[in-house]
Amino acid sequence: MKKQSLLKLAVTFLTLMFAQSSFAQSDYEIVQNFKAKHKEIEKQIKDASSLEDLTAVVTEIGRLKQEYVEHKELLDKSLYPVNYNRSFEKLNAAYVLRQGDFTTIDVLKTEVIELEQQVEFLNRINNELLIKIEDLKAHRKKDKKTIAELENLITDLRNSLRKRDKLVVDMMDNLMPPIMREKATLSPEDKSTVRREERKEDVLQNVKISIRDNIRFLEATSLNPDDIKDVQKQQGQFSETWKAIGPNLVDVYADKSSKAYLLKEIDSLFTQWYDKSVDQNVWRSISDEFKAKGINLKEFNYAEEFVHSIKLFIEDEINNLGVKSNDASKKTYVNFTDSTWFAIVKPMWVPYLIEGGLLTAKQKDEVEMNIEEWKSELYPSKLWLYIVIWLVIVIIIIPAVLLIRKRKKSDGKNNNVVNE
Amino acid sequence: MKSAVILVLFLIGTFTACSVLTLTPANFAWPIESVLKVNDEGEVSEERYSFSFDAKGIYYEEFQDSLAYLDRELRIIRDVQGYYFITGVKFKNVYVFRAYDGAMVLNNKILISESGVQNPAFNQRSPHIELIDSDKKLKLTHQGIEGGDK
Repeated sequence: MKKQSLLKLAVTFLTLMFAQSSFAQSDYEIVQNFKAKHKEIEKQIKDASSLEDLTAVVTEIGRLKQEYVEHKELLDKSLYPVNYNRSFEKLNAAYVLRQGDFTTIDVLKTEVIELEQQVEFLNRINNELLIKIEDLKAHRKKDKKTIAELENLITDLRNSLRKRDKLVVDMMDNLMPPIMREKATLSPEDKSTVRREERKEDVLQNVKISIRDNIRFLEATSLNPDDIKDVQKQQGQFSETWKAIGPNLVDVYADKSSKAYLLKEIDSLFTQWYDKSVDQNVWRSISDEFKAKGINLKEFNYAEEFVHSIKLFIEDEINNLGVKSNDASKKTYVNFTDSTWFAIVKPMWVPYLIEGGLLTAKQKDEVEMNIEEWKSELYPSKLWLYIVIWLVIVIIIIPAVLLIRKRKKSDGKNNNVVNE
Repeated sequence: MKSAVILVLFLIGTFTACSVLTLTPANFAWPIESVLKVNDEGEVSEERYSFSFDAKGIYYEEFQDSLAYLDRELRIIRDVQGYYFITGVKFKNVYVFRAYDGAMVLNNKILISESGVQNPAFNQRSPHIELIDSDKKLKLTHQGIEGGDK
């Protein structure tokens, strides 16, 4: 056995000796081989999908350096514009940079877990708040205490939703590190780098919960224009982040079969949140302003319906003149115009509606023409009375005065004749 | 005597005017050979040293075939003195050129193999150029094979 090993060793040694002497090596080939191995290591660094893969590359770099140290002089002259040392510096720099990526990804993964715990907590709080608001609205007593409680709950919920949405945006940010975000499509290695295995289904679920809660919030509350602008700003930020990161997140976290469906589902939730819910909230909030003053308008969800609803209400009021008491009609008019339209809707909502393209100036004028018509029916013009008074003056008083003056004159003349 | 002095001065003046400024020493050696692909027009170009030339002539000279350059590679290296050594697969000769007045001018044609080399490569081994072909090694100068025929 020992003899056999010695023989093998001798054969190997002789083969090497023979190879050394019989095959002269081309400098060009040495340089080309070095370049190819260098390129291969660069690729390994770029393609490394974990810190472990990267650590293996360090050994490769060391081996290459050792293997070619005897050709340093040749490589220094031939690796134009770099040289032997510089080419290894480049490899080391690439290694450190890539190592940074993995460290960042690990830190981000830890942050995501913390963010998720906070999101989960806020999800629970928000859900409780939404249920309370819906409950209070359903059994709403008109006492001040309930209204104040409801308003406080809405404020709490709005703040909490904003906080939670920010957390979800941060979470999405952290789940897709910037280096991955820039890639149009992620390779399987990239996916395994960013993928977090534990509770991976929560990632996209949280996005959906966020949007759905916002929709529920808009459905359950009446907001003022400033609040709505806030909501739209928040929507914009959320939507931008989703556009930048969402498709990659779906690519990483969804099953192959459900990717298209999920993207479509989230897109449609955004549309529902962005277009439908906000617009509906605007019209409902306006309707609630009237309702708060005892004016019950027919439901409206867009400008034409709004104008038509007001027109119907005014026509009803005009038709009811004389049926209702005059005081009741006047009270309704004052509540509609002075307390709601001119005090709240026109100064607060109309500029927002016109600016947002939800109402045209012509439609606003149409509403005001209806109000004017209502006013003229309720407070009819008294011009005819003035004309009658003038006629009375002209027909009765003036001839009477003239007659009295004439009598006085004739009495004076008679007195003069008697004196004479 | 006077006329002899004038003649000497005239000759000195003439030789002085004819002498050329020469910078020495100069080293033109490339550290490694370049392997250049011949394009469809028969031209080769070298990026690092920024030069190009028409190689059709060398193929015609070697193979007597005007299309022999198609899909071929030339191996080229420059020695310390500035001579270009050119050869390729199946070449029987190494061609030694000098750059002169916008052209590559043949200086020497060195026979290296009667049957043509199979896998040639040049190495810079100043002051000579080493030509290897598998197990065969030749030391070349612009004058010929060192220790062989000039």
